[in-house]
Amino acid sequence: MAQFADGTTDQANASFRPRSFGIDRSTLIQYALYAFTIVLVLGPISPIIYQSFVDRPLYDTGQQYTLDNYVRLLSSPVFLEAIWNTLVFALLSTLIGTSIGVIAAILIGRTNMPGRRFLSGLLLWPIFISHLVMAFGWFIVYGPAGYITLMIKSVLGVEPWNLYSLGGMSLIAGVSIAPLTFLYCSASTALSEATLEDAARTCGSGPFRTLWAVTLPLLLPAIFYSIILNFTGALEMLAIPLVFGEPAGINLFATLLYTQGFAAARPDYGIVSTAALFLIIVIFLLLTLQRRMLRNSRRFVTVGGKASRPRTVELGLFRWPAFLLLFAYAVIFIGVPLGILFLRASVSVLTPLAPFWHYFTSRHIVAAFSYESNIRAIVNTLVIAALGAAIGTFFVAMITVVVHRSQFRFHRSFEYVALLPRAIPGLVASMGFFYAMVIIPPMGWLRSTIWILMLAYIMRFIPLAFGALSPSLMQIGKELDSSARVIGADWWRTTRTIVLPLMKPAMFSSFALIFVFCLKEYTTAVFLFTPGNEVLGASLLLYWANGNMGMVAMLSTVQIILTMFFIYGARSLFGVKFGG
Amino acid sequence: MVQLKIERLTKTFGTVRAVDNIDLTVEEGEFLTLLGPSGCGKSTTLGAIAGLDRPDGGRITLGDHVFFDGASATFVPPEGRDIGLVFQSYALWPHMTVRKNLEFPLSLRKVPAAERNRRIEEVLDLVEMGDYADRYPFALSGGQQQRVALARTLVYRPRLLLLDEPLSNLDAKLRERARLWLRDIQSRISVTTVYVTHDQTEALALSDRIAVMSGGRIVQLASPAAIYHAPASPFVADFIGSANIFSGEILHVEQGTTRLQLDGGGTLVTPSPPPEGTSGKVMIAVRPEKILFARDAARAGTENVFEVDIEARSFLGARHMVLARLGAVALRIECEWEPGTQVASIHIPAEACVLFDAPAPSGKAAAVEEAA
Ligand SMILES: Nc1ncnc2c1ncn2[C@@H]1O[C@H](COP(=O)(O)OP(=O)(O)OP(=O)(O)O)[C@@H](O)[C@H]1O
Ligand SMILES: [Mg+2]
Repeated sequence: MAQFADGTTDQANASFRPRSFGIDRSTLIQYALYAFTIVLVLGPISPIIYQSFVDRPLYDTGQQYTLDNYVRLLSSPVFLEAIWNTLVFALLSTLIGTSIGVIAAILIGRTNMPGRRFLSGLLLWPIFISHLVMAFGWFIVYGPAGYITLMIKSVLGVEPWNLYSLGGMSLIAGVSIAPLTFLYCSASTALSEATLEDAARTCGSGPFRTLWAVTLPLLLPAIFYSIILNFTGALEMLAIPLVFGEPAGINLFATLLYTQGFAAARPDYGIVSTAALFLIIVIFLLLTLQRRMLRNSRRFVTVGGKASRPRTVELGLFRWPAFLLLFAYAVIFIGVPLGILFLRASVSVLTPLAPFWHYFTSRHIVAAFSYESNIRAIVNTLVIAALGAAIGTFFVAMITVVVHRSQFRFHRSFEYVALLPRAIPGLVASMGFFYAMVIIPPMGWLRSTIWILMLAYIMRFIPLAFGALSPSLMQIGKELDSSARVIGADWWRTTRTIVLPLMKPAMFSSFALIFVFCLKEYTTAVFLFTPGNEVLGASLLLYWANGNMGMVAMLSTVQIILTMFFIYGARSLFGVKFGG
Repeated sequence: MVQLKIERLTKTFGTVRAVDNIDLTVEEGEFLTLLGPSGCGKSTTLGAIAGLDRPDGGRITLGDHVFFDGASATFVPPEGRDIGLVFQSYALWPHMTVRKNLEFPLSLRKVPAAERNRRIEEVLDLVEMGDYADRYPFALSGGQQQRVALARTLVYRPRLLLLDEPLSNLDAKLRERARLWLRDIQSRISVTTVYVTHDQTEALALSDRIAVMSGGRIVQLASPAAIYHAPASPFVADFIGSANIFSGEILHVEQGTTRLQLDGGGTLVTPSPPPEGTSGKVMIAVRPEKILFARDAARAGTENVFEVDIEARSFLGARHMVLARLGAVALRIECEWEPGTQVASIHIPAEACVLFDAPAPSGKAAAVEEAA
């Protein structure tokens, strides 16, 4: 035993006898977390799988196994047409969204275009706003009876465009997914690391040539990544097909799931489940492809060193035209639609045929804060967002620690399970949780509570939080927890006192991110809300279905303002950075 | 009696045998160093002793406490071993002050508050960091952090101290001071210590014994003097003191003298016995600082004097490093005085040569590879 200068032998250590290491609390916690995550993620998918193989609804008795649902799905002309439409829609909107995002990222990240910071902030904003709200905004401005549509029609005499079409929907969807591409490409080191470009410039390559021959290829991994992200995003997108496709009878996969599974008087659960499963599998395969591509692409990704201020590419004469182009884009597709929502919320009628200031009304704002259901929706949304973000962040932080910093035997499959919800569209998750509640009696009490919504939201956002937390965990030196272990702390103690406290900044970011995503979420609520546990997203859908555009605009406004306040607060209070 | 005993320890990563069947015993209070080039498995061995990695097979015991036994699938996790480990990066917890860092292991052991404070004072004084107790790690210099890291490990009086290149982040001067200081502390508290380094000077200065590792095996285990003067293989000779290694053939052996024909030309006489079972082909290792230039060589008689071409010189301050060519053999010569001429005479003292068997008719590189 070690002996100190004072000659005392060690008394305290004598009491430090290793415990018996059968099943200790650390292992217990790891298994419990693993089991819970599996149940949370696979729980809602299993009833969907089961339902797709039986002949009658889950709540009935005497189910028979059958492949009938699959046969009916693949022979239903409605679904086949929806598959075709969805494919066209997803391809087109991916093309549009990716192009816009990449061009904006290069212009803002690599050129001397004026107003880059300003534009960057403007273009990123839609990330925090739900597609549903954006769709309503576009509908009010550019829809068939939209303010600007009618204005132009009154001048030209013909309808200038028709958004009630696959092309129109794709354009709108492309615009709505462009910010994510912009974010990913901007974050790519290809845009922050200038040495390779400098090398090309010194070889005598001109600025445009350099952009084309060096920057763009370096950006390719980020672009591929975005393409798949956008494609899957378009596949599961509900808002735009619902607002612009459904009224014109253009069915997409998501709208069919919505109308057949939720809005129909007698939902055909069998075929809806089968379709949902089909969607999960397609997205899952795409994500697997993405993972594989990303793994191989590491070789091409430049390793970012010090934060050097890259020299920019001189646009020369095109500086201002480029700025004007992006600015006009931001005004037309982001500024005007959001502004018009505020305006629409404060008037009773909005049409270019009559001056709107004659129709100012406080009706909607009064309704928003006096109707019990509206107040409930606002309060519920905030409670779910706050609690869900807190619980979700802690929960996922624990998952990341088990995955990256433990000897847990199944840590690989744990990561897999944790990332699986990426393949589960909100609508499908919603349906799955609904089924699970129906067939598992002990879960019945969750019905009509905000807890089931919170649970579903947390499940949906595990990958989001995982993405926010795990890079920062990997940056914490392994020796920091190893040394705590050697010193005598078990895994759980180490996690509590060393690892989690060091993850605090990332946990703030994750909290903020989940909070905002809970605020704007609507698809996951579709099957789960009832009077009593409504949330803003769900109420929006209801008011939309009833054609009450005033209230739609009002609640959208509330949602936007809540989001803005929160982001502003999180930024200034905790220094949380959103996006790039 | 706390003796660390490692038997047949093996650890593979995929196809890499990071630790290959190692046997090692460290006596109570001994300072043993694992020395070897990068990637030879030092850290892996240390990690296995600490319990950070689970070995594939073998047995590790400290006293009568079995840490790991592949045969009976015993594996005590790191927190159950009551040992101390200091990392190269120090691994001080950045969100805790120095005092909190030191307090953590004590509170884990439920040491009463008064005793806790006393011990923290004591150990901080020991490492001369008493004035910094309330600082955060980021406000300390590298040398200070390293002291705190050691203090954090000593404060709970572990039964075994493991150090993984604890000095390699310090600048050369500080490293020298820290070396003396570390040795002093270790002998004062006489804790059994396993020290990992790839710096041979450090190993020679600190250790009671050195285990030279290569490719996951221990190639020589001996006292620093023995390792230096009687390396067991060309690899060790090269790694410790980067000896010149060249080949030759035994002409004849008589009365404790071996006469060699150098492949580069000339004959060499040495009192070193020829390696056992040699075919006649041998490798000769001579340390650069042992070779003398002719001004000194004049005194040493005429044996083992060679004519060399000087190819490059560099000034090291107190000494010179000269690169000379003897036939086909390039020699490094470290000397206090260097001749100004292009051609010079050197003297290789007879007792400075160590002989190894040459398994293949090849040059130094192949021999070293073989040893590795
Ligand atoms: N986690 C791991 N996965 C795969 N291979 C590993 C891992 N850890 C170590 N190795 C391999 O095992 C071998 C020994 O590694 P180790 O870290 O023990 O070397 P080392 O002697 O400490 O080297 P250094 O002086 O560079 O620290 C190396 O070949 C290394 O590549
Ligand atoms: Mg090492």
